[in-house]
Amino acid sequence: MEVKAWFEREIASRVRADGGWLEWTAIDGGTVDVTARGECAHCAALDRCLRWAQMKAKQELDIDIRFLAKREPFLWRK
Amino acid sequence: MAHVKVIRRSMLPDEWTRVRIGWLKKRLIAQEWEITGWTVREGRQTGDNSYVMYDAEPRPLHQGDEYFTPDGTAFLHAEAAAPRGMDGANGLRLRLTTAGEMLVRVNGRLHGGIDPNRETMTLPPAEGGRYVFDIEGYNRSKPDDDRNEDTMRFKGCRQVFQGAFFVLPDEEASALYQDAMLFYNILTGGEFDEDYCALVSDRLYHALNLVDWNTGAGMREAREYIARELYANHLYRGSGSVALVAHSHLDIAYYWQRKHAIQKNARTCLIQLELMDRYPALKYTHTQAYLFETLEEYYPDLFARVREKVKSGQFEPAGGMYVESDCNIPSAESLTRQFLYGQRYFREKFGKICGNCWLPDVFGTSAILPQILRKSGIRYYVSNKMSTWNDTNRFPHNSFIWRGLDGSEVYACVPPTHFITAATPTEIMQNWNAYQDKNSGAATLCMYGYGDGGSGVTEEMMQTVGRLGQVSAMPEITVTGGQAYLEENLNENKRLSVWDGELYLEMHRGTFTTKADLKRNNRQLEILLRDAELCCALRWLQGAPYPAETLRKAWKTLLVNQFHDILPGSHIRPVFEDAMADYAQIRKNCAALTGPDAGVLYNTLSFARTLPAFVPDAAGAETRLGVAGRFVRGDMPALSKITERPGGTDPGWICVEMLPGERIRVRTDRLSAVIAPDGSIESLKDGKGREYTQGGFNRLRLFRDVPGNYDAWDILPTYRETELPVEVDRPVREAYRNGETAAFTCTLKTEKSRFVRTLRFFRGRGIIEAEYLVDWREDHVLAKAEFACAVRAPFAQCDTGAGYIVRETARNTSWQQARYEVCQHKWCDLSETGGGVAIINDGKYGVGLWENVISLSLLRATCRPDLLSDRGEHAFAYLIVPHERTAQEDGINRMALEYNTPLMKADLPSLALPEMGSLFLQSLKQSEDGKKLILRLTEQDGRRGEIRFPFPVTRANLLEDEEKETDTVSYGPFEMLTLCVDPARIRAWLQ
Repeated sequence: MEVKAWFEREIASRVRADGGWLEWTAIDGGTVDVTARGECAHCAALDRCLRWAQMKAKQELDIDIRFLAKREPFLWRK
Repeated sequence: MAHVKVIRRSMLPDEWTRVRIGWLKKRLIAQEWEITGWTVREGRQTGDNSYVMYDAEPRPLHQGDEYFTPDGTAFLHAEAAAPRGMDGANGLRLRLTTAGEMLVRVNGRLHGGIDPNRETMTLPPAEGGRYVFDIEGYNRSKPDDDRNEDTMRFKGCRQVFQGAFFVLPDEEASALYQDAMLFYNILTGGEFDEDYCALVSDRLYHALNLVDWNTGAGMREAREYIARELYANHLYRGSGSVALVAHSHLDIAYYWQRKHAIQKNARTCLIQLELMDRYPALKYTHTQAYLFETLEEYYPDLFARVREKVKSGQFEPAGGMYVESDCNIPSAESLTRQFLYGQRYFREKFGKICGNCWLPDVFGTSAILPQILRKSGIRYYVSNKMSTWNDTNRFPHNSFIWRGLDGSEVYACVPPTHFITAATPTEIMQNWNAYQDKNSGAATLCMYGYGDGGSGVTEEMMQTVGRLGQVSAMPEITVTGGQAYLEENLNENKRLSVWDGELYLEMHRGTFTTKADLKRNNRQLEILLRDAELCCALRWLQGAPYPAETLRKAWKTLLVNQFHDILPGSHIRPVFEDAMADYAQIRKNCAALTGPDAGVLYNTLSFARTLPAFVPDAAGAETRLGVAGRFVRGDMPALSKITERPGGTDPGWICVEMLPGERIRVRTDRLSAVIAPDGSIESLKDGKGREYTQGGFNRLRLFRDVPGNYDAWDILPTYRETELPVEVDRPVREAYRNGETAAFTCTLKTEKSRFVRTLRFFRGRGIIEAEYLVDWREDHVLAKAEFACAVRAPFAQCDTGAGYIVRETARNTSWQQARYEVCQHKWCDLSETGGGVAIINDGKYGVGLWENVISLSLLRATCRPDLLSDRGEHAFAYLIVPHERTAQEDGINRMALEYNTPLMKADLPSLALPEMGSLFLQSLKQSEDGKKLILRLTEQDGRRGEIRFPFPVTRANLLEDEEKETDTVSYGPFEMLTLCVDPARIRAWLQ
């Protein structure tokens, strides 16, 4: 849960301030599944952002973690 | 012979021209030298020009490295020597390709801006060619920007550094490129004469044949050919007259927070200032006093340069408002304050007020605005929105006279094209061709410059504008300023038509409802600020100091949050969070100003109250909207302490009877109602037995609400096609009953959401309060409360906050059909001769009115730009008021003011003003110069009359410029009066 709280505080909140949205879905070992919504859902640079999140996790939490994103455009919400 | 579509063919001449223009573009830079040694330090902006840095020290930044972070700012630094013998004096420039927005300091001075619309900037001369670069970079642009295609591949929160370069442009190639682009635009835009396009196609093709694309030789010959064959060809004559005004629309918040607009604005102003030095013909129009304020505070050097350019006439402050506010939802006093603070700022800093109201992107404009404009020294109104965004009808004018609710008139300009153009020949021709007032004798207005996130005019646009006059097929082009255009073309133009009434935008109808918390807080704070100011003014009359600056600051904070992408709800989540934090701070400040609960209740309204008023009280026996308290009754005269009367104890005023099917019949001393299990009302009769329902009444309905890209903005005309089920979880039951009130509660639910609905009846009052506690978890759903009334009313009335407007309920014409969702303020009403039904709300602005139906919009659940928009808990209420006469005769407006204005817990002196009839005391404040007491009165019912004061008053405009002293003030329907009173005289009179 510590990683999830860190993700929300350090990554998701910042992405939101740029109109994006990354939502923690699940963690399985060293892999975190996130849902990319908002502008992230169609961002060409999403992989770069996720690599940055991985780098931050290493720097700040000293853990090796990989983020995998599933895209969900806003019109899919029903 | 049947037509055969050719799918394989050789390249057409125009396609070949396009390819070669692409080659030409690659030759715009003659030489380039990479600037190395860059470092970057990254951080995050936490406030207005304050940051937390992620890196303790800068790190090296090389071409190909990633930089920028989500919500981040990147500070770049490099020191470099220019190639020998070169500097800005001989045309050396900086090139940096990025999707970010960069403010560039060169050798310690802010010198230029780099962003997706411009990748090079000039450099100043530098001794020895030594340059020190300091760059503040932000990666904020709206996602659907028209961007430089070259930057699209770097777009995103995390970008790749493409390197930075000293570059020397190829002047010949650049000039030929501009010529070629201009004529290629004419050729492909579809707006010019077919024969002329054939000429352009031929000559452009042949001009580019003169270039040797291996060596670049022949460019001068190509330019000379174009000059001879196209610029000098006067066989094709354009008609019309188009005025070009440079402008950059700047959203204070949208896909970025307010704190980020400070840099957007600085970058925009800087770029325009630099261009003005190089293009003396450039005149640039810039709005919003708030933006000038932040520039003055955070970039004083830039502000000083702006002042110089204002003096020289190149930089034109415009608009008159503090920010480009929404003009549907804010109250009359809020709109007044936009101009009061805006115009006073412009006068103080630039020596004169603005002559126009410049709102290119506003989502429709209330009919009360013309009067506010005229009384703020403004005679012109400009907005592009209705001509370019209306989804059903073509607004019939571009230049016209706009008449407001009270009859005040301003000259109005709705330019035929968007407020963002590049001044291309095609855009200008589109503007002229779409212009509907060609025969009025006026030129049409075409704005040019990038906007929304600022940035404005580019060098390429200036190059284009400089060439337009040489193209004979163009209309006559005038490069001018906003005010000059308006004065030259609209002023005293007797041929202009009149548009009477609101400027309704046939789009963005959802913005009356999206983000209910913003709407409700804004309503409450407009009233709270009014009351706090009134409280301080009364104490000032008693000798206490007046906290002018504290009040002004609180007002300005509220005004900023009325910006047209904040209050309407069309923004990302952090903008909403900023607004809610601001609202909490304003509440705190108002509470500090009015002081602790003195155990005394005061009526701040300028008329005696008659409705029971709920007062929060931890010891109270009743609960309203989840808050414990009590309903206060008693003698509540105008602007006085109230004398509370104990409530009755006899519960016999109400009779409750259970009916089959979990229904309840309620009979009070004034009303008789049958309540269905879901809280809707099957029958509602007054004491005379007159039935007010005719079908579903107070019925909660949910509709699928998926408007597409403009999710937060729009409600589609088809929204009623898919209705979603609402189940009764707990049918209606009596919740409590005492000697004064009785409440009946039910619970409704969907798969995701829950609604607790309460209907509250009052002894001696023919009204019903409907209260909602909602846990709202839907996606793309619109919730409405609908009232099918037993009323034959071809017209409905809607409160504007300063009088009411009348709306047709028929759906005969496309104009009527397009208004399926409209804006109201505190109330709307459907009445026939002999009465009707009014619905008084506490913060709901969207409503549909057709035939006999009032359809009050309660909540939306939009997903773009904010995925969490409106999700969560909501508490709101409205009053259902069946009444026997007209809304005016039955005092609906006063009831609405009472319903929305809480009693103040403060010990204040009475202020016995004359009986004001339908005038409402909208504001009581100290004048901005600190010398007078200001009374602002608005006529609310459409009556004329006069009011006699027992002391002399001076009429003033809304800017508090005094006009004429008198003791008798006459007024017309819906007029706003600003009166100044010497405090010594009023003190003497009060004693």
